[in-house]
Formats: sequence, C-alpha cells, structure tokens
Amino acid sequence: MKKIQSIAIILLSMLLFTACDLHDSLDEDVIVGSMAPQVYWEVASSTVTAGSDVSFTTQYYTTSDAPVDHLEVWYNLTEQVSKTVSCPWMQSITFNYTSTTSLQKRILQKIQEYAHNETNWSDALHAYSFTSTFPTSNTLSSVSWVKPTTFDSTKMVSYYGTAFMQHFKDSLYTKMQAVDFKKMFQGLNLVENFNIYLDSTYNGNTGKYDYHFPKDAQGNMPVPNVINNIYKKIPFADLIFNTSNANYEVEFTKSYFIDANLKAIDTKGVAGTAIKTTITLN
Amino acid sequence: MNTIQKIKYLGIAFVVCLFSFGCVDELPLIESLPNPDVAFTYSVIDSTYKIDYYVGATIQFVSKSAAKGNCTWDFGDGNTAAGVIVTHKYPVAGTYNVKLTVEGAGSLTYQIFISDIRPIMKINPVVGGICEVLSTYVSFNVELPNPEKLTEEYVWAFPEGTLNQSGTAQESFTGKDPGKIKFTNVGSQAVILKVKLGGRLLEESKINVQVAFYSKVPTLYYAVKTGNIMALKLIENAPVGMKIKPFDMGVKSGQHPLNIIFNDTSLYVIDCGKQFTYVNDVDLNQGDGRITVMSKDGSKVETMLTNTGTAFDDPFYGYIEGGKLYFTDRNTGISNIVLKERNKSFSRTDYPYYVQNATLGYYGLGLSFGGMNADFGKINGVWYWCKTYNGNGIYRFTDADILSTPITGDGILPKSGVALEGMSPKSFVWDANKQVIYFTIFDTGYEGLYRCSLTQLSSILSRNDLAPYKLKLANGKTVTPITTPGIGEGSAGEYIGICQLSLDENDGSVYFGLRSADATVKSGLMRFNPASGFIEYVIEGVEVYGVSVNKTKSKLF
Repeated sequence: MKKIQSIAIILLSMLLFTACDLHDSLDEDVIVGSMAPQVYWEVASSTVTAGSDVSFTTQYYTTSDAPVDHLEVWYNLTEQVSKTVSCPWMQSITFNYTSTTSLQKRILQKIQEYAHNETNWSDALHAYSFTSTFPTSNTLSSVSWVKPTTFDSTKMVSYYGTAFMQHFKDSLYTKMQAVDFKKMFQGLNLVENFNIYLDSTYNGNTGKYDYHFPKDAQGNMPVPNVINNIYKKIPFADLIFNTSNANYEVEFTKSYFIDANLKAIDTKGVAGTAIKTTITLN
Repeated sequence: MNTIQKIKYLGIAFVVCLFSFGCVDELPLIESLPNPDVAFTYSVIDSTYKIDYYVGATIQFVSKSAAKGNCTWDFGDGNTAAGVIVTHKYPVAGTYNVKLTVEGAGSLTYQIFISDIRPIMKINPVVGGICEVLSTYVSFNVELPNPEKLTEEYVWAFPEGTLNQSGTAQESFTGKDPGKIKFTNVGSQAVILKVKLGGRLLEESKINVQVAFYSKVPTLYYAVKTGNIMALKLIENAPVGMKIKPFDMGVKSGQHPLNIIFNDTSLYVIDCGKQFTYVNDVDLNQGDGRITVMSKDGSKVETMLTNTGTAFDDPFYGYIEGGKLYFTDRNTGISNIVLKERNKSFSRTDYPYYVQNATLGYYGLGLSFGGMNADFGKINGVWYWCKTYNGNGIYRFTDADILSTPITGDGILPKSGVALEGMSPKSFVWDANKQVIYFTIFDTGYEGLYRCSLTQLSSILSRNDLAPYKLKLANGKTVTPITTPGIGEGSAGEYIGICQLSLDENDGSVYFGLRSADATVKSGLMRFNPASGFIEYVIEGVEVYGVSVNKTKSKLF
C-alpha cells in the first residue's frame, strides 16, 4: 500500500508541474510563440551619403503554415559629436577641452515596407530573395569644422554654446604658468619685453635659471595685475590661434549613424528579424 | 481490487489528467505578448518627408503601454497632451525629451530629433558620367520642402576657379538655378547653398562636385586624423593656374588608421581603434579596431573584420599578398584574412598567428616578449618585420624560418638577419625598380627618412652609419616625427609621426604623412621626389595617418 501511495504522490507531483496553468514552469522560463520567418540580409555599404538610398539584398523563408506577407526596414538614429579645443600657447602643460558624446536621437521606427512576391523564390537558395533599397534623410549629413583658418564666432557659439568661450578662458588662466603667459604674450605681440615681469631662480639640478613671477610675502607667485589685465582683453580666438599652422585649434564634428534591421512578417503578424546593421551617414 | 489493479487505475487516471490538463496553454498570438508597463512609439504621419522629421511635421505619438491608466504626454517644448494616441508639431529644430506618463504605472522618456529644413541639392547627370576639369558643364537640382509656401531666397557660393557658360568667373549666384558651370581646378569642388525661408536663414547645404583630370594619372589616398579618407590625383606639370585639390571621399578615416592599402579596386583601411597605446585590458574587451574596405570611388564601404576582444588584438599594420591581407596585432604576431571576407568578427581561433615573436629563432636572442609591431612586408621573398620596442630592428625571415610551435629561446637565428638592430624603424617601402628601400626611424637625434640599397641596409650597424642615407628637403632640413608623449600620439615605441610610406611605381616618388616635431618643418602630406632628390610638401598642415598609391592611372578614380 505504501508503494501505491508513493507512486500516487510522484504522479500527482508530476501532474502539478506539468498541468498547472498558473505555475507553468516552461512558460515561466520561455515565451512560447509561433514559428517566425527566417530572414537574412546584407547591406551593400556601411557608409552612405545622407539623403541617398541604401541598397540591400535579402533572403527569407518560413516553415510556418502562415506565408510571409511583407517585409519592413526599421532603423533608429544615433548622433555622435566630438569637440576639441586647445591652447597652443601652453608650454608647461597641454591644455585642451575634449568631449565625445553618442546619443540615440530617434527611436527605432519603420522606414519602408516591401510586398512579398512569390516570384522572388529561388530554387538554388531555397529561399525568397530580392534586392532593393531604403531611404535616408539628407538632413543627417555630417558637420565638420576642424582647425579652420578663419574664426567664425557664430559657429563657435552654435557648436559649443554661449558660455563656453569665457569658461575656457577662465579655466585656462588658472593653469597658466609664467612661461605660458610669456609665450602667449610675445606670440601675440602684447608686450615688448615680458622679462620685466619675471624673476629668476638658479636651478642647481638643470644648471639653468627658472623664470617665474615675483614671490609675495607668503612665498606665492601670483600673476601680476598688469598681466591679468592684459589677459582679460585677449579675444578668445587668439587664445586658440596656432601661429605655426595659421589655424585655430578647434575641432567640431557631428555625424549620424543608423542601426537598421529587416523584418519578415507572416500573415499571422509573426515577425522574424535579420541581424542589425550599422550604417554611417556622411 | 488487488494492488496491481489499483496501480493500473491510478496510471490510467494520471494519463487522463495529463491529457486533460497538461496542455491548457495555447500558443499566444504575437500581439498578446506583453509590452512593458509604459512604452510608446512615434512617427511622422504627413504624406511626404516622413523620414526627415522637419520642423512643422505632424508627429504621432502612440502609447504601447501594457498598463491601462490614463496617458499624459510632455513633448519637451512646453506643450502637453493626453490620450493614447496624440499628435504634435515642433516649430523649432532641436532635440526634445518626450515623456509619457501612464497613471499608476510610471513614465518613460525618449529623445526626438527635429531637423531644420534644408535644401536637397543634387548634381544633374553629366555626359560621360564624370565631370572633367575645364570642359564638363554641370547643373544642379534643388528641392526645398516648403509646406507653408513661405518665400524662398537662394544664394550660391562657388569655389575658386568656377566659370559660367560665358567663360567668366562665377563666385556666387542669387536665385534657385545658377545654370551650367564648369571648373578649372581638379578635386572636390564644394558648392554651398544658403537659403532663407520666410526670411529665416537655414543651415547651409554643401555638395562636392568631384572634378576629374583630363588625362589618366595615378591616385594617392590618405587618411586624415579626425577626418575623412581623401584622394589626390598625382599630376606632374599641371597647366599653369590649375590647382590640384584633394577629393573628399565621404568616408571616415576611423580612429587610428595607421595603414591603408590600395589593392585591385579597393582601399583596405586598417584601423587599430581608439586605444592604440598601452592599456591594461584586464577584462579583454577594450578592442575596437577594424578593417574596412572602401571602393576606389568611395561609393561603397564594407566591414571586413571587427575586433571586440582585447585591445592588443586590434589590427595595426597590414600587407597584401596572394589574395590575403596579413595584419599585425599590437605586439605579438601577424595573422591573415582572405581578401574576399566580409563582416567577420576577430577571434584568435579563427585568425591564428601566421607568425609570432615566439615562432622565430630570434625569440630570446634579441626579440623579446611583447616586441612591438610596426610596418612589415616582403622583399624578394623575405619578410621584413619592424619592431620598435622589446627588441628593436627589422627582423627578416622566410616562410621556412617560421617555427610550428612557440619557443622560449635557444632557437636557430634565421639567415636573413636583423637590420637596423637596436634602432626604431617604423615604416618602410621597397622600390623594386630602383632596388632601394626607404625607411623611417624615430630614435632621438636620428629621426628621419632614409634610402639605401639592401646591401647598404645590412651594413648599417649603428646609428652613426645612417648619415649617408638620410633624405632632406631642398632647404637642407630633415623630417622629424614627433616623439614627445602628450604632444604627438603614443609613447615609447608607439610614435606614429610617420606611420606609413607608399611608393608610386610610375615615377618612384615615396609619399608619407609627417607629424613634425620641428617647428620649422610643418606637418603635412609629403613625398620624396627622386627626380629632384628632395623631400617636398604635397599638402601642408594636414595631419595624416596611412597613405597608399593606386598606381593604375585614371581621370577620376
């Protein structure tokens, strides 16, 4: 009798595991659904000019009893912005501002639909196959303003914001040493003889004199007021002007890429999705 | 009822129950699969310009939330709405945060990017398919989305050397159609169009007209730092007044394309990624290097190989032979990939080392673990492999010298031997016609470009032996690549001041990009001209990584 009870308990336990609609262990682990169409695609080029069409070739088939109804191309949009501004006058350290951002600007959305056509069947491929295109927007062409030979303050404000130039100037000031002021002021012909603002100390290690601003009572070497006043009057553009190459040390680039995929959708609305492809717009 | 019978009945009852209750789950319809509690989509519902998201476009927002509460929308521009499906128009271009709140369930925010209206510029087809300098007239087609029928004002700006049909210089034009124009300079000619719509100045539009030379010449490709792949027609004795400007291929150079290689009809761009200097990649996931393949006219770009594993496995330098692209990693070895391969992901299993430091007899006898890679290639059947750290020099070997398994030392030295031992050779190119090798080194005090025969190369035993072979500019200056950390790029062993040399087999010129440490010699695209015997500027000021010549002559590409 005990044997029977044990067997009954085992059977009932199995029944509970398999039959319980509320606690279906299989359903809790996976999402069961219909068989989706299989779809594969290749995009002709991973870089296209904004506004031009992207060519692709697809192969697809289904083993479901529901035939493929149509295909759809979907993509999202990501913007990449890179900014660099540097001061070429600096000698003591390298001073630059850099920023790189990559942000999704539009969510994934349907771009184009393609009707399924039985004549696309290929016996050789054992799949439907066709070549087509999908569009991109000409509004998404890349922007590049790199080391210009003329300074455009309107572009500077547009690309970096209204407060950037003053912020850069203020930050730079806090990092500048006497040698940096000297190089900048002499390079910009702001003073005739910068050495009159400097003291020197013999450096036994190098065997040379180190030049610095005069020390105050506490032993600090503050920037003299006269230097500070001259600095305040320097236009931002001059701070980033590279006399060697006659260009301004500012770089701004903005570009877009799309992450595209192709869906094959059957008559029941079940979709199979091809692998995502990234396409850079230029 | 005996025990056996009881078991039988119980078994039958179980099977009946199993059939009755075991399959109550019906396959759910795809539509009934759960959405997140809060979800939404948006799209332009106007009949035209659906993908452009212009200012003023009607955008529909649809809640796809599983939660059933009331939906309220904040469009990010101060406007709000309520409902499952709502529409909105943005009057000003920009990026907005759209927030959907479902009562009792939470909220979700997506960005939406609204574009300003821009004129769509196109070049009308030209006879023969290419625009030739001095002779081909081109015209333009402009489409301006203007749903509100606002006033349109057009101002064109043409590059220097543009002529109208009367043959007079055309610098600008006011109006929608500037008519036909032609160009007197070769290269990308940027035509700029500024448009006011309803009195408001839109962001300018630009189109590059690719102007070909009138006879066939070779093409030099070069990769510009933070810029695009550029191309330049190599024209000797251009007519007086004609400027030979570069072509913008409209394809990004990448992060650090230290080598680019033209082969057949394609340019292979070997980009070692953002992190090309040393990194302690403990998680083995900082790799972002790739090899891309650009068609010679830039119209098609394909990814050949991508590395997402360790940064040290990024592809750094390359060489093509026998239908394969050989590529180095940072400091261990050389692998290869068949030229036709596309969209492959790098793994050491799929792309094993063809040769590595430890499969050469040099290992432990000069060449050490982590010997840093630089340019490499074959000369007369012998591999030349530049190393710039942990065993500097050009290590020469034949295929027969490659050992089947790594060694730890005590190998047999290849007969080819090491050239420039102890020096830092970064790049080289072989001129088979003149039987000379050009090479660069960046050792302090000896930096520069050199040329000598292979016999002479083998006789250079110390840096002092280099002097007779050093090449100079006409003013007596030499080229000095940057080797100061923080000023140029890279640190010890990594400097990329001259990272590739490329030979034009037609005239023996050797091209390279220089990042100059000498303030009196500007950085730029340069060449050694064997006709003059001097190094010359090709383009001043540009910062260049890899360079490669397509020796096949063409008018355009």
